[in-house]
Amino acid sequence: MNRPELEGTAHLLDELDKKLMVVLRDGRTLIGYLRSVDQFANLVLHRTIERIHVGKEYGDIPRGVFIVRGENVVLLGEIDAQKEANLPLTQVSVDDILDAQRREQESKQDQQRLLTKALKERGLNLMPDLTHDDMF
Amino acid sequence: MADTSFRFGTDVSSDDNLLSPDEADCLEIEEEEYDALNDETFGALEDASGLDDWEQQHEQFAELAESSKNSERLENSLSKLSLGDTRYLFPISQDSVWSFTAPQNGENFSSSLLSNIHKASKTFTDSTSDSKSETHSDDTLTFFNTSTSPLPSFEKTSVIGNKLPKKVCTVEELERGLLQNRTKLHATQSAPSPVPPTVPPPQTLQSHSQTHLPPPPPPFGQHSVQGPPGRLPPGLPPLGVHHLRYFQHVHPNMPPGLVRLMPPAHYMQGTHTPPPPGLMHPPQFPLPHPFNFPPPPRIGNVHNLPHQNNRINHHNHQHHKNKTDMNNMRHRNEYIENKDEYAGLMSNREKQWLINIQLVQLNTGTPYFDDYYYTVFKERKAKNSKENQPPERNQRHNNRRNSDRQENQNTTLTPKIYTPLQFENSLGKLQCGSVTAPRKIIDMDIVTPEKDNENNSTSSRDTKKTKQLLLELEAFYSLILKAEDLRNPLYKSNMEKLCEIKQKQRLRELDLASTSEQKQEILKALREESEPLSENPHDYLMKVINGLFQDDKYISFLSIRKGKMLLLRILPYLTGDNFSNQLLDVWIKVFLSIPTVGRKDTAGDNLFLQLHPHFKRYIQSSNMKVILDIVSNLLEVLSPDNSRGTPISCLGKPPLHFIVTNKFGVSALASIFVRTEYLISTDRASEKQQTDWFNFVVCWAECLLVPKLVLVTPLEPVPPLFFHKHCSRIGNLAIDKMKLLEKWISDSS
Repeated sequence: MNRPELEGTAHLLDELDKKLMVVLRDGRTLIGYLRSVDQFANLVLHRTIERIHVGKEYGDIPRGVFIVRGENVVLLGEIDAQKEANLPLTQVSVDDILDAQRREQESKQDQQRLLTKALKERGLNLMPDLTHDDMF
Repeated sequence: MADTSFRFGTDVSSDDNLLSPDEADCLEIEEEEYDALNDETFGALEDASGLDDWEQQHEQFAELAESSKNSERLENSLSKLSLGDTRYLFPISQDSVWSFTAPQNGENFSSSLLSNIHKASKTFTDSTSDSKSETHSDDTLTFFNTSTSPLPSFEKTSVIGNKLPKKVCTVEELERGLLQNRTKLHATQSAPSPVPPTVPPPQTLQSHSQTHLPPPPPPFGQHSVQGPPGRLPPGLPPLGVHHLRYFQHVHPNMPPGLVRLMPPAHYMQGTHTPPPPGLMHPPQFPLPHPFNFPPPPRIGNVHNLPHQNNRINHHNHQHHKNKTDMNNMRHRNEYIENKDEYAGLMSNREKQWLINIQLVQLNTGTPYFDDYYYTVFKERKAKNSKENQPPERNQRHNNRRNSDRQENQNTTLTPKIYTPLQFENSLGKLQCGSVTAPRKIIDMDIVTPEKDNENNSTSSRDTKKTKQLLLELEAFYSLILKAEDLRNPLYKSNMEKLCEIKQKQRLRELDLASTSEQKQEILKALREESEPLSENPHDYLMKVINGLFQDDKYISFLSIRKGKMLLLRILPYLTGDNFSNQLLDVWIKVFLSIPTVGRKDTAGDNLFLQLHPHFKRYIQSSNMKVILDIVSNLLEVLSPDNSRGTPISCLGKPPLHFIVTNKFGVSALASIFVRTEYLISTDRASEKQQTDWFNFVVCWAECLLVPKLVLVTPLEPVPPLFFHKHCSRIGNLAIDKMKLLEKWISDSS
């Protein structure tokens, strides 16, 4: 990509066949090899796993081949193989991590409920859905 | 060198291999009996036996095809072999997450997924406790090499037909054998050349019945269809099939090894022992060199498990290294090669296509509007380099660069007029879909703040006022930007281009318009747009000045930092010749604002001090009248009538009081002092003017006497000579006052 017009740009084609971590708009984190892209930044991910992070733990769910519509991608980044090997996080089983995730979700919902209640008492009828479109 | 010989997955003579699922047997048999390239083998193939074997194989495959439950299903599963990657291509380890297997034909996706997840999680948790004890040089590789079970995946997964795993095994045996050699021949891979794409196995099987080559089959021309040469989704018999036929066609002498289903061809690239001459003649063909395509997917590598590695090592005569070294090397190679199996799915043509689309999108004729920051950045960089480089070279560079840009702009995307959704008077409910709620409807509640707290009202009024001021300042800023743009050549060229593009668009619309009314409208719009805009920076600046220095608002504007910055920004453009009247007004008002704003400014970032150079420039070119105008204003006592919102502390005192406490004010006065002296000494001041001025000086000195005033010295003190010369002119200036004045504004002492 040594064209002068592309100077100062980053291109998804430079990320082909690399192991990438992709974060989606709904909060999911996928890790897979980028095999193909198109002009809408739709991605074809190969050997994908979905990694769920809860606190200092994580769990991987193998998913296979993913085709992700470009508009749903928040960001993506290359995975450093050495750093991946030396993660400070602990890996747990899928069941455990799903449990942990559910618990975290519940606690967040509880907090949100308390918050809306408190705000209502002060006269502000906040609808969290409207303010928090997507996860990002 | 026997090891560099052709090795095919199966040995021609032993048919049993094809059906035996036991890999150990497969391996051993192939290694013992396999020896493709020596003269014996080649010689043996000269007779019909080679062809027979080929035909035999074909028969077997045909049987397989029939014997499977469903020939269609076989084809489906075979084609799915490419998708069922995890089955073979993955590091086999069942323990690893990557050993997830794709769902089978007709199976429920979720159930298989769940079962696999459970499997994966269980085995993984088991293995993690085990693998900790392992000491492997490369941590990531342990992941892939901890399996102890041979060929795990496909043995455990449900298979479509009984024959399928055997067939799979067959393919793998072949490849494994091939791969042994290829890993050694790795060094001598030649550059890939366009190579015929693959044909799915069933078809090739059938086509084997033809001994004569068809004319170069269509796939050879369809470069666009297939990926890079040699790149196959693994699982499909590699490309060599076609080549085999070619070899056959050209050289009947070819060894039997070549006339096989599996491609020996690619191994030739690394072959050091020259094969029989017949094999080295591909260049004659219009076909791409069969030897030159890159190594096909190393399917077999996956199954080179540690224990197998050992066995393979024994047979590797070339590499008499340490076994563990070899293993590690092979692990790494396999690791890398595992990744490469799917690498290059996007061909260069596809990448180029994508880049071209994006370049067209990038190429708007008006980068100054569409990509302002990058364009300006490039301009500045170019200017810097221009300064550094000698001018001659620059001209050449510029010409080249300009021509490049023009060439690129030929392929520009015409901007499509995009009107977003209109919501006014819309029928039906409006949707605001998101990822979590795709069909969400907008529902707004009117929220009014509670009026419990009275304290809020005053502060809210203040904030509202500030916001209003800020909004107006924003408007002035945009006017200034417009004025600055009009002087910018980059803007002008881009603007012209934009007008051109708009005109073209209108013309296009004209062509497309169906009714005459529409055409009239478009013509009208075209006429309006094509009138050259005669915009004048001067007008914009006038608007800004008039707006900023309205009588009742200028103090509020100057009390906000943004207002001061705005003033600083326009001052360079206000040259004496164009804006003389306005400048006087501006400076008077600035001084009049000092009482209110001065303290805050001093406490803040002292922006007023930056006004000094501008004022100095102005005063150096002004006459006595102007000076007197200014100073007379300074003596007028501030009253509530003059300006609304005068703080109580300012009332009843002349602005001079406050100016002498303000550094900018004092500096300005000092500049005035110097200028007046100059004017008087050059006879440009009338008697009356001089008298008025002298009176002012006396008042000024008296101001200094006011107690409790924190006086400051000017930025540029008056030179003592000047001072004395001037004061000598003043008749009614008492000595003590003069001394005081001297102390504060002059250099002496």
